[in-house]
Amino acid sequence: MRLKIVLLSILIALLATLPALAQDTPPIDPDVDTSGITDDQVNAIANQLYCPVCENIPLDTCGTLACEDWRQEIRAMLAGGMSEEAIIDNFVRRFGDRVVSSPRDPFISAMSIITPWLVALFAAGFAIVHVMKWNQSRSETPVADSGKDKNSTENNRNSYMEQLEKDLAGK
Amino acid sequence: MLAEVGYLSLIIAFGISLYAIVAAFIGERNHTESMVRSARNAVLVAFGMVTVSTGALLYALMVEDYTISYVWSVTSPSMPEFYRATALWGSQEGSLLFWSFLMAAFAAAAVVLNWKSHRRLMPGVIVYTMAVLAFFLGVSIWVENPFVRWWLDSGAPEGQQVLQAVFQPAGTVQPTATRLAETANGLNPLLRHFGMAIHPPMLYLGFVGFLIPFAFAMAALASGDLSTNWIKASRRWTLTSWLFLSLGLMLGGRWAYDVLGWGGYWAWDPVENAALLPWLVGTAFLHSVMIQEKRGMLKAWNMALVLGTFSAVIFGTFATRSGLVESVHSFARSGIGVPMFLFWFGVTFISTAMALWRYNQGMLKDEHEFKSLFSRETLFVVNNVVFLAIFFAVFWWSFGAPIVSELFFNKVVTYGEAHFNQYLWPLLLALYVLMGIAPLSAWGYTSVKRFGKAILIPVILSVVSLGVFFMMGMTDVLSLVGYWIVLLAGWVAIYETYRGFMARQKIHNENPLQTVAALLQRNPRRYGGYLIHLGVTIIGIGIIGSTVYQAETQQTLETGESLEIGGYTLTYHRLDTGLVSSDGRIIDRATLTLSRNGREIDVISPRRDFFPESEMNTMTIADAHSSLENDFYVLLVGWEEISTQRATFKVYINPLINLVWWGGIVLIVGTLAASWPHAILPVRVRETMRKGREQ
Repeated sequence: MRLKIVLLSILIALLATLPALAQDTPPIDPDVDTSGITDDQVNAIANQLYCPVCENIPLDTCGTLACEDWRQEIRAMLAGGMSEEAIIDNFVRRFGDRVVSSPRDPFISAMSIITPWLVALFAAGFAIVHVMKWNQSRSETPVADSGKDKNSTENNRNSYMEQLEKDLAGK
Repeated sequence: MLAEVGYLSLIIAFGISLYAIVAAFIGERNHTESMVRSARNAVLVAFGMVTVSTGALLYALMVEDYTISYVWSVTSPSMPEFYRATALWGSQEGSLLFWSFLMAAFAAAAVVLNWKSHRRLMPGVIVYTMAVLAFFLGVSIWVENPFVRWWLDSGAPEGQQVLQAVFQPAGTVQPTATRLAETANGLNPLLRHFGMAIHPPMLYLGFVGFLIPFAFAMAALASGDLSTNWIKASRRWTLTSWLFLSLGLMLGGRWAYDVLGWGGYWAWDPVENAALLPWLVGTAFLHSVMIQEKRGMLKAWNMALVLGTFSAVIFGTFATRSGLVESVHSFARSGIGVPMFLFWFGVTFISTAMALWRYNQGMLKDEHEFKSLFSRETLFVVNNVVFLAIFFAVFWWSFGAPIVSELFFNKVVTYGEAHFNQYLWPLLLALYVLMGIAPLSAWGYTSVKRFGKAILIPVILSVVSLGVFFMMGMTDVLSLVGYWIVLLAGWVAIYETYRGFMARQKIHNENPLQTVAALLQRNPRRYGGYLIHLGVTIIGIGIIGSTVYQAETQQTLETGESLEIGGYTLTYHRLDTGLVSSDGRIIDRATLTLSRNGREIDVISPRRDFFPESEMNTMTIADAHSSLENDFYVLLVGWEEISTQRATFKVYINPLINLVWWGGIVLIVGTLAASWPHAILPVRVRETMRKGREQ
């Protein structure tokens, strides 16, 4: 009786892990006819994946034998009716987030995208505050050494053009 | 003998660098002129000794002295002399020595050229340049020694009989020359390309050159002379370094396009990005420094940018050479990670602390305030924000996020080309927008009316030229928006130059070439800057064309069979296998013809090179039919083992890609024009000119 319970438990455990095991291996039927799948169809997907062995080399351009095998897997998956998304998901499950150009993990993905924008916004805010402060202090206190043109707004406006003309004239 | 000469020269150079630091420090502190002069002479001697050391290694490479382990690992008897010479920077130890040589050369040049004009800053410059040089020499002596040799200890247990040391350990003998030559590795095939003869030296010159502005900035902080002196002294050095770094980045792109065989030139690989980071901060500095020169503003900010640029240089060196992030450039990995990290941290910490110290003393306060929200100053500040946002995004996706993800979430992630292209384009376009409007704004204040008048003609010209792109079949809406912004920036540069040209032509009766020369001579920064902007515009047109409108296909062809793509017909004729080249390569080469509208226009010969003696031994070398319109780029992917009747080819059509290279050339010419030293007129002539202006 005890043996039966143990065997039954093992069987249930194996059945429970079956879907997970199925996800970790490529669902390829060795007899599937791949002749209808073009290289361009394979490369369209391989281009979105990175070689799991050589870092930062897209799967469609990697020349190693391992990558050739993985491209054949993609071909077989396409022939077996799998969608582009399902094939990419299969590779991510087997090799991790390193095989795609942006991580699939929602938290890491959000962290990686939001962080630079937050920093950029912070930098922009910092710059705006400083420019406003400078502008404010200008309106409160006349600039000390701009006496020669402080009463001449027109001179200010045209200073660039005047300098340009002077330079061009070579005088 | 060569190993002893090289190694001892390194040790002497290291000792002399330390002496220069001490002498300059004491000389400055005690106001002892003779000590400071002695420090200057030590800088020159240190350069001489590093030159001897580098020369010894180069000579060992040329005479194939395989007893030196470095020579054995990067050359082989079949390698041509040219690649034996470029093997000097073909691996970690040699490239670090070459790096030190360039650094010593820059330091010596800075001391000689600026001795009289910026005498007050010189002791500080000597201290900081020699401290950095001493660090790199120390790495070459103790960690990555290029002069260690092979020794055999027959009495040692199996597996421990081969030893590496500069000097002969007791009880060992040297392996025979024949045995060493037979087993020599040869240079990494990826580096056997003409571009690799120029790309690394340019990149190193760019990196190392930023040491001089950094040293001037640190000298200014140390001495308290925070007027514009250090800016004036370092401006040309910054431009020179920026020029070399730009050239290095472009040559790297060209090398990737020719050698790596994936149809592109920039993959946002972490090592590429490590070189881009200092370029981004350096470019921000080149813009914002103008505000300090013209208006005495942004002093603290400029200081931060100069220090940040050098920090990015050291970080890039650390990341590239330590294997921090795995990449295609991983041949440069080694065990120097910890010392390099500590050095980077030390440089960043000390320079930041010194800048904060002076800032708190009020020595980095601005002399003027902003006059208007719509002025060139404000736009330059925005420009800096955008540059730094790009810097941070590139840094974060190349290094920050992957490290955080691996350390804290135990997940190895990749941020690839698609990710960068998807999220960076708004910032890149913002840069082009600023490039278009900033040159039309004035220092201090710009009225909307005047600005509108100035931009009207460039807007019209950009819309008209956009129509031409549309007629050429470029109909993707987003790309057209991108093209319009890029074209506007280019037309502003051209129109402003044209206005200057016409204004001078009205006044002076001279031929057009004289006018162009006079404009560049009178205001090299403005017109050199417009040329740079024009170059960046041309690059932008090339990037959009080759990214958005790239077409590709991969097909297997029988001999005589053709494939069709983009109006071209490519016909496969034959495959010649097993061709042996003079350098020992075994070449398999396909022959194809390219036709358009029924007319044959080129013969294309993509190939595979096999290097029997190398570990990474197969290279796929593309061949392309190039025109201004596009590149028809063909790769030999494979063929049937039993026959050469069927072969597989990958074809890319890269529209306007050659504009990327042409734009790069224009950018280089513009930088040369902006940084070219102009003759200083005699006082008498300047006085006459001043009087003439006053009348």
